[in-house]
Amino acid sequence: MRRWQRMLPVLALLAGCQAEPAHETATEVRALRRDVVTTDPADPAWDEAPEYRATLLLQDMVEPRLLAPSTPEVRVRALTDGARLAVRLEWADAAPDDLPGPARFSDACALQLPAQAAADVPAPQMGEAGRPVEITYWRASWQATVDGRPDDVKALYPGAAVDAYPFEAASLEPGSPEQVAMAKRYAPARALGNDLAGPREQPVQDLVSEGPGTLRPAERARSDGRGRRTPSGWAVVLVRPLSPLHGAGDTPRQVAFAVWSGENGEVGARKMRTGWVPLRIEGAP
Amino acid sequence: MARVHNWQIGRDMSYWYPESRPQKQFAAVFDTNKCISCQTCTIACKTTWTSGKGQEYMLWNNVETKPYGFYPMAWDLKLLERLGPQSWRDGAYQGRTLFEAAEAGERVLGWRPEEIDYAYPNVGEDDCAGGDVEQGADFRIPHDKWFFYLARICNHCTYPACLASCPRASIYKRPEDGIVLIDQGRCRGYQECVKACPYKKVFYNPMTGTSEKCIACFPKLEQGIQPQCFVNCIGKIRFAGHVSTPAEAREDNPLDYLVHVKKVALPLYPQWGLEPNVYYVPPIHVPRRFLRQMFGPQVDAAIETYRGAADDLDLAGLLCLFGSTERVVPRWKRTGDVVIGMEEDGSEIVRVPITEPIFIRRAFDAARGVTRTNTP
Amino acid sequence: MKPNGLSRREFLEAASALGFGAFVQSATRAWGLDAVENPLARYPSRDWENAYRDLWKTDSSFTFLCAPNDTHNCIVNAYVRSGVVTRIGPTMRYGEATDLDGNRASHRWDPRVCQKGLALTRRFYGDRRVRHPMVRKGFKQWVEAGFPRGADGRPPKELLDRARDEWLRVSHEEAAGIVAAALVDIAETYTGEAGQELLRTQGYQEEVVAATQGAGTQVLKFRGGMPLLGLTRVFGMYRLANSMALLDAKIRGVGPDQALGARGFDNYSWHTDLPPGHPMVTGQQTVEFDLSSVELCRTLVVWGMNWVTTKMPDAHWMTEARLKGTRVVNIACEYSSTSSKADDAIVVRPGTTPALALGLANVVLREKLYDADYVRRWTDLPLLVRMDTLKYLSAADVLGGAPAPLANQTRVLAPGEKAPPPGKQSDQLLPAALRDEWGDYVWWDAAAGAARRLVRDGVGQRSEVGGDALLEGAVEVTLQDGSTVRCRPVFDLVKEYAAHFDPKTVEEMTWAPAAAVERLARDIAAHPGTTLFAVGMGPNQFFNNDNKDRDIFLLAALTGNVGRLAGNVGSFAGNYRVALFNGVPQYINEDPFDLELDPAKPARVKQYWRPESAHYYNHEHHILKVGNRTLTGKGHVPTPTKSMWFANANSILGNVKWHYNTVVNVLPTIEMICVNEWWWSTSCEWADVVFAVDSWAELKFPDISASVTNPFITVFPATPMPRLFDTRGDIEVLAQVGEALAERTGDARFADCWKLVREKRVEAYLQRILDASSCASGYDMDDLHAKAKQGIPALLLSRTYPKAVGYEQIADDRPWYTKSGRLEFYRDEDEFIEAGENLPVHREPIDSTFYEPNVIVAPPHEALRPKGPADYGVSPGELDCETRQGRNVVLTWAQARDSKHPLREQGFRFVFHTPKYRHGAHTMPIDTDFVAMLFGPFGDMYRHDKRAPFVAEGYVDINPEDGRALGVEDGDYVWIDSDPSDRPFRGWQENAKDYEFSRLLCRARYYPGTPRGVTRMWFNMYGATPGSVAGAKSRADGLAKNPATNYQAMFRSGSHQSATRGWLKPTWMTDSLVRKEMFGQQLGKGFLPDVHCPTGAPRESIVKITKAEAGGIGGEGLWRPAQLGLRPGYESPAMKRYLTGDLAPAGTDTADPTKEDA
Repeated sequence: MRRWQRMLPVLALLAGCQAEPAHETATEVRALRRDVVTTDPADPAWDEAPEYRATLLLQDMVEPRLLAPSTPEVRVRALTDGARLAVRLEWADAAPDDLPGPARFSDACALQLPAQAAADVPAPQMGEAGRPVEITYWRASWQATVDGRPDDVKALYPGAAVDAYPFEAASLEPGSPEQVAMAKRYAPARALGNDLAGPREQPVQDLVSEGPGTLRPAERARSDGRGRRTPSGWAVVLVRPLSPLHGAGDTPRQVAFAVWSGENGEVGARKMRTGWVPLRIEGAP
Repeated sequence: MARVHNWQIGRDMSYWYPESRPQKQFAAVFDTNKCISCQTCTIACKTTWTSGKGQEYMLWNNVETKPYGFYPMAWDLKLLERLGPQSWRDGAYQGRTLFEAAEAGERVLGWRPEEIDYAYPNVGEDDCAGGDVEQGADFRIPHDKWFFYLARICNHCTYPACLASCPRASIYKRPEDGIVLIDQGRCRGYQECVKACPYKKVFYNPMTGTSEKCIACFPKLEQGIQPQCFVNCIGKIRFAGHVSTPAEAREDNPLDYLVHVKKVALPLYPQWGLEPNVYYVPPIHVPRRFLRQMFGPQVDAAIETYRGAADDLDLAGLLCLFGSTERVVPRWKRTGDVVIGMEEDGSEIVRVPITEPIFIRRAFDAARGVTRTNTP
Repeated sequence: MKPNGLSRREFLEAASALGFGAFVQSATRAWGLDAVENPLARYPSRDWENAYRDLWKTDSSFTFLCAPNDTHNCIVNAYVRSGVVTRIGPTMRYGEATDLDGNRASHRWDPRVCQKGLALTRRFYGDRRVRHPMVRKGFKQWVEAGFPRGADGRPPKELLDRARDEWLRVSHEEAAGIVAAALVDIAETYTGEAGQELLRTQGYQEEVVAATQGAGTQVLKFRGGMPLLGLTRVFGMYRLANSMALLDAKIRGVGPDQALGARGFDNYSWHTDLPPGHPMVTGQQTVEFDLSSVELCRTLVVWGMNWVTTKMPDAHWMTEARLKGTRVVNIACEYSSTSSKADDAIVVRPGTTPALALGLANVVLREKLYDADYVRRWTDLPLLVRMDTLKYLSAADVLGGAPAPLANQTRVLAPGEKAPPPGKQSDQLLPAALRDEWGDYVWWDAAAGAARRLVRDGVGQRSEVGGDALLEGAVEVTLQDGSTVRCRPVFDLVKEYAAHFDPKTVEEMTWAPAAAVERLARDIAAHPGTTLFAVGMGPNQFFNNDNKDRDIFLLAALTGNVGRLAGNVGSFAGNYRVALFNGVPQYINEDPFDLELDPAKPARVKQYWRPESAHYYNHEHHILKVGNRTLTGKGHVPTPTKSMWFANANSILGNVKWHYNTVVNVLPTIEMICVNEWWWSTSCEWADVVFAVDSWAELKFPDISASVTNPFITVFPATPMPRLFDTRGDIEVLAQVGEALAERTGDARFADCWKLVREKRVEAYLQRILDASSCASGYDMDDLHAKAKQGIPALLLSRTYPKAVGYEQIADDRPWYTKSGRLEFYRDEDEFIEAGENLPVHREPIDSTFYEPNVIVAPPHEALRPKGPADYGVSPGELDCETRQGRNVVLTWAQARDSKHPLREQGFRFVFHTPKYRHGAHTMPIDTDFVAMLFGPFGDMYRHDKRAPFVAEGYVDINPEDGRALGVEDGDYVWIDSDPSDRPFRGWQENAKDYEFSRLLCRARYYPGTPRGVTRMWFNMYGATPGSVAGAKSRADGLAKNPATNYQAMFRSGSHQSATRGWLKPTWMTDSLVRKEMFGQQLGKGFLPDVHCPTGAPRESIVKITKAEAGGIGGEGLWRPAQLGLRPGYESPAMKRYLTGDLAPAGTDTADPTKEDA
């Protein structure tokens, strides 16, 4: 972790003295200022933003580790309206994995910011005690439900045949408080309001972490986003608010990215990720 | 990794967390000689806990026919194969436990069933091993063609692999009773526990995005009542309670008596190192090599003891007490032909005769002017 | 869908509503994350556990009785949350059951429940519930058009399009009106000479037409399925049948003296549960014992009974008895579930039980190991038989004089003397006519060289048959008229016959090793009176089932094992002994012309309805005729069936043996079919009217049941559960129709029959039954009901606890219900002599044999002189299924061994049997999702293979080597065909439309537990119907589910009943067999439903098996478990090592080879 602190000034310097034309590979993520930010990955506005190509590294620092490299890189473009940061991540992925199930994992990606801008940043692997990171996380299976896949077993298993669910008994008025409560009761994670449990209205989730194993949902969901299949893989837009804590004006900022390949069994700590990448936000407050 | 003691393998071993035993450890004895694979336990559990969406395939309790039955497919076969040769000497396990055999980047040696491995939950039902049965086959103990029923729930292990494998410590062991739970509010559905549990008793629920498992019906146990799969066991093979360590074993604790005193009930795959807390009376008709592979080297002694029950009223009596009350029976005693189950304080819960009484009614019930007959 | 863009201004407005402060706050709070240090020791916040505590909570609970036809009758608790029964569990209070004297059962009887009962929640709320009365469109049109008929009386064909026609929802009142109208019209149509003429035109046999006696009500058939399972609810069907006498009186204008009621179908015998040889040996229905008795015996022989799968709540009695030292011997045609709990297990050839019993008797006789005292005191073995007539030697012929007076718990009824009601009868009651007909018997005093009179009273300690009684050899006896006749004791005849069944021969016939036969015989004989024979449905479902009973009783009698608590024979199939409540005539036979409307008073009884064996309906209403001979006794002759109405059973139609022949060839001759159901069964698919009735959990009136395998009276409690749908109680449906009939006929008595139902005082009917019943008199219905509501049954007031038929014979020296008062092994009635079954012989199965079917295996024997094919004018080579039934051909084993089943050359090489299993009961098939998923190898809730008809499906078990020989892989789909002359139905060759859903298509499983040549399909599952086949084609998910009715099949086409048929055996249909009446102690003879009538033999079938499709998903490649190397015959190297215990050899200290499998 010390290593990261030492590198910072260097990165900042590089960032400071070179203005990259959009078409060439950037050495930092630069968010162009626009009046409107979009969640549409296909919006032409993205073409104007410089593309940063982030090489992805194995998460092989903490158990459970990923030992076999999968997705090599993620291409990043960013926009901002001054209040929010919008990032489009693109990466190659032969087939979509968006069906949840035993031994089925979903394609996913995330961006991570230090919860508070400071001269030195927390460890890029989920932050560290006392120095949290904020994460915006997108999952292909959530995108599928948001795009209209029913919240139902037949959507996952078209052949499924079930005689009855207790919470769909003829004596219960569909949608009545008793019926809704009963349905939740038979899905404890939903009854407990576990963010993962769905049904989802958002393909993204706001998370906070203070070191491996401490990940938890942020108090409020503030981010937005959308993912789409491209001919070669995924293009996902993540839009998250910026706060003064994330730094003001020209303070050096960092961002990190992660990509999960479902077919490769990547989930949680088993992922491809970047280290901290310099981030410049045009006309930030 | 810490060093902990595992009495089932007669030695210390490494584990992800330091040893910490609960005040009491939930435990159970299953008598495979009484199990009839009626699946009442399975349905009792399923209709109570896993009738929700995404749980259709999920059997916290299942009964499979050994050796051709598996749920999920090949669960124990795969792991035995991966773990390789295992040997015992003088009751001490010489090989590596699943924690000691963990591969780079892992905390436990595990494997992940494919989604379709959970199909056919009763595959192998009543299929016998030892080759095809011939016309006129004539069997005596041990049977040379054989199968037996293995009822399985979560073992609420002293050293759970699921707990060790959870990257965010969402799985814990209750200090008061040793029950292992997955926090449904905190779990993020990484399925690491599904991969790590060698008994494959953790299941991923695609509709909640979390992993779920047997909770030993703790809401019932908290009221002194046995879990659903015990109370509904019509084969009367099950007895729930608490097991002590060998050093603290008590004769009047039914589980201690069967596990530590009579040593007639044995853990499932003790060599894996989890110190599982469901203890099985091995089937007396099955070839011993297979049983040793599954229950360890104590099998021969356990079967001899069980076959002596006809001349051992205590053992026979206690086994006949199984399933006669829904309450947890922490203490027991036998007086003559009657077996009594008691609370800790000695107050009586239930008493049963070792042999059901015979009543002969008067042929003519004068009081009511009617003949009482067996051929009406 | 959110808009793609949101302007900065818009966002800031939204954000400032919360303000960045809130966001900072959230982040800050997040910094207090818990790092759990050791989850073995401590976990921070456990409030979440309440989620499971909440899921466990219930608002209330109530009890109901789960009583399919499985003999267990479990009062269970239903747990309610938010008005929904979320789960079911045992009451755990059977241990509190007591009787009037304070005797009490123990808690070892708890828990009583099973997986099928727990899964009832899936039925209560499943989409196959019958939600309201339904009427078939074409039938409604027929009724509304005023019952148009052709010249032959038949309704128009186009209105009889069952199982394909539309269904219309109607009210209960409307349904009742429709049914009442049809009952009246059908009865009117077939009344009188005109009606009988119509029946003749329709082609019924003359005897069958004559049997109606011109009363149209006689073509109306009613059936309360297994009425012991509901004394008022189900038995009510017979009360209704009795009230049809009112209709006959009106139509024919006759008085009560001549009026005839309807006909009622049988149950126990219809289900092939009746062991027909029991009355042939003991003179009464069946010998059985409560299953808990096995604790008392030294040896338990489980014979053709898969105890642990079919007697599940009582399986622990067996495993616990074994634990305590009882030796368990299992005899089955496979290595069964029960074999795995046995000390000794023997795998025998299906259908050879009579031969095996004879083989065991052979050893006992040859080695003189028999219990001679028991033989002399309790059996007819010392009695002399005349070799000229093959009749018992009559004492009158030898010693002269009139029959001796009877005094031993026996009374002769003077001509015209009326017997007291059954529940009041103590002594055996013999009509004088019968007594005179039998006279007394003769045994031979060898010492004195004299004939001795044997009087029926002389049994047990009262027996005068001394140690010098001749058992072996022949004597010339001089008769009163001076002539002499050669006579031999039954013992001698039996011994000579049994000599043919030496262990070596028996090994060839039955496959049971000679050594095993000798070992078992010697062990049983070494300890007389300590062996219980628990005989199951397996051997009983073969054509030779009466041979089986007579031969097993022979073995048991020779070893002193009949009528003792620790030594007895039990036949365990179905639940039947309605006589446990022998006061039931108070209800079913209350005189409809003289009804007692005061609930406090007993009813006046008169039976107007006639019982009939449903096997004739199943047999296209033919009685058995072979060549020039009629082989159905006069008392058995059926009438045509024009209306059929049944409750509580799918077995009379949906799961009928020979189902596809019945629906294709019989149903078109029936004009109305009504079903009471709460779950849309196969029977509903084929019905005209379906009355929606309450599920067991919704019963609003109490009812009563009991069982032959346990000591309890179990009450169906009325429950507080509100009806989920537009249903009524079964008995309310009957009352409704009664009222409709009253309206239509103007005769109020039709309605008064059900007055106490209308007044909601059904308890009064039940109290009348209790008061009049030997085993229940003294109980108060309200007390029983109150206890049942707490989950507590009562103890039946039978003579003993545990029950054991025959106890009184042994303990009180009471005669059996036979002519001689003894266990009879010789049958001298003409029908038996003609059939070559005057001796307890072995017949080869009638279809399930590799040899010539139904031959009597015997040596040349002086006493065996059956009438053969030639006597009937039939060619000896004629083996078609009809002729075969009356074919009395004797072959020695050596000859039989060289013979062949007529279809063998055409590839019909596999015995196909259909036993019951743990996942289904007779009236509760393997059907709901949770239960079906666990049924065998192919369960899959997610149906990865869309070909699966449901989440599981029917399959055939086949020996792996047989499979390989056929080119069938484990898991493949196969076609199964039986005798093409009549299965799946006669005429399938010209009827592709019906053949499409009739031919059996199912999965095949490699099953190492079944020997070569023997295949098995479990019983029972809902079969394919036109609707289920249409559903599989039209539905996106491919389910074999009728889109119109939600009927769910477990087969893509056909069913286990595609290969079965009904069979009629002459010895089941005599007019002369003496047997106790159904209720009470009176003796009579000939036809008696559920006691002496056909049983059908549905387990007989020899089949051809051909591969249809590969087992892999979608028909691609191998079925996955086989492909993974985890199946028998497909083992991977690792699996091989796993099976031998070599994958993880448990170490050095077990290396000692002597310890291997010690």
